[in-house]
Amino acid sequence: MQNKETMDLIKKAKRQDADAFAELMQLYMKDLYRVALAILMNDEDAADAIQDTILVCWEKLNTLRQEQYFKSWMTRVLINKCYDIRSKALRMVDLESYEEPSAEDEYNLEYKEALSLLDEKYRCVMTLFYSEGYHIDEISAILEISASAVKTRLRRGREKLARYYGEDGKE
Amino acid sequence: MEDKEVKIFTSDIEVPAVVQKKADAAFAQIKKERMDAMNEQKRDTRTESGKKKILKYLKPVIAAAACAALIAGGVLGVNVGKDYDSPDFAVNSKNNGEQVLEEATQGNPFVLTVYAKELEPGNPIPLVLQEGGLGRAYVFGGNEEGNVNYCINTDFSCQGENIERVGYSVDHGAFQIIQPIDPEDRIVVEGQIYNGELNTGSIGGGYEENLDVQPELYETVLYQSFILDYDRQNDENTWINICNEIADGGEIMDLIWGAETSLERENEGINKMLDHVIITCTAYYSDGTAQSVDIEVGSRVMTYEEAGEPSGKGKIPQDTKGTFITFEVK
Repeated sequence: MQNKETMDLIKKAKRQDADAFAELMQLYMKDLYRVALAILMNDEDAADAIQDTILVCWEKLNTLRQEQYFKSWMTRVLINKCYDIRSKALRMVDLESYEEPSAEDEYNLEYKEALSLLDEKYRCVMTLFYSEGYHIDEISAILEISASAVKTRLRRGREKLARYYGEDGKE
Repeated sequence: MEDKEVKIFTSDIEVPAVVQKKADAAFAQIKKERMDAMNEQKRDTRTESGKKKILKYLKPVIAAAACAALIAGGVLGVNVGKDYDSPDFAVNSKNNGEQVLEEATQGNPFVLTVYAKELEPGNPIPLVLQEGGLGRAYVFGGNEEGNVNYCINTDFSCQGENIERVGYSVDHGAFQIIQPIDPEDRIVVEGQIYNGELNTGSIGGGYEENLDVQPELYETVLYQSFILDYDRQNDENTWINICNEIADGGEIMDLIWGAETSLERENEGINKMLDHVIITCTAYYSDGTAQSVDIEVGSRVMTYEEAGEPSGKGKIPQDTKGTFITFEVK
């Protein structure tokens, strides 16, 4: 659910106000980045997915019937873009395979380290739940998986990270 | 305590420069395409001597801006006539919002006008685009999915004695009202919101002047019906349009814009698209009664002279035929 200011931006964007749309998407930039990173695991690909998402959202915004679902809709668009990029195997690497990380991938190293410990299916669910604040049923709808699958992935992902932080003394 | 494995997901992160850079590139591309589309439509209008009435928008999302450039000035008249045989019953909206039928006042007629032009029963009045000034326009569109849509500016004014409020409803589609964001500047005093979304062009809202800034002063609302105070029926910052979107409009699209089209086929296509849309105007009198009139919106082929299009240098020859949106009392 978005606040009134955000809803106003969505309405303006739907009226083809490019500045309002840019402001709106900028509000969600960190959210977009987190989700894209959870799937793609590198900044270059995440940037491509976000760029494509911005363009698609602008083009298709008039198809969004209920403005309060803008963020869920945008996230769904982003996830589809991420899957497209991943399926094309463009620079598909994970953090551990880096030999010489680019300067861009020096951002958010601790966060990426945590993500790298998890399979993508856990990363995505945990990001949507803990970082983005979506409810179980919302994640279920966004990822088109059952609510029980969401819960299972949350539990297993959390257990795996807990083991790592416990064993490694990273607490 | 929030565990470490959870805290890592809630901690703040930094958007990398490469991400912001590509996002900015996307924003710049959107702005450029938006401006290009608007400028192109402005050029189209200038080169058509104000006579480009129908545009095909493959991407209706640009129609909102484009149609504003279509406004070429004009006058549209609709008049019920003092001898109009009004219906016995009219829909009346009470303060509690309930819709009730109430016997209408007999012998208490009203005149529906736009810029003092009157319509007598059986005499359809065409929407005429005229040169100069802020006028009237309509815009049609179609998209890749086969939907077609229309948006037609209407600017009725109801005149009569002892009328307190004037209401309008439309039997399919909706009223698209572009009005100031500031509630105090709005003229709609009551309205039933249209339950749905229509992807059509728009007319009005200041798009034609400062493309970036002025639209932010306005909001677009779709109403199924609305009511105005008798003393405040029109405002220079409010545009009242009827609009609708029709699915599976492939045949209509072909009739209006197809390679084999003709005036007759275009006219047939427009009428299919409009589908006998009826606007009902209701006058609410101070004695609690109401009286209504139905107006059908359609299309006809006629010469510019018959339509009352101004003649003169740079104008389309008066014996030229064209399709015209018409308003006719039913």
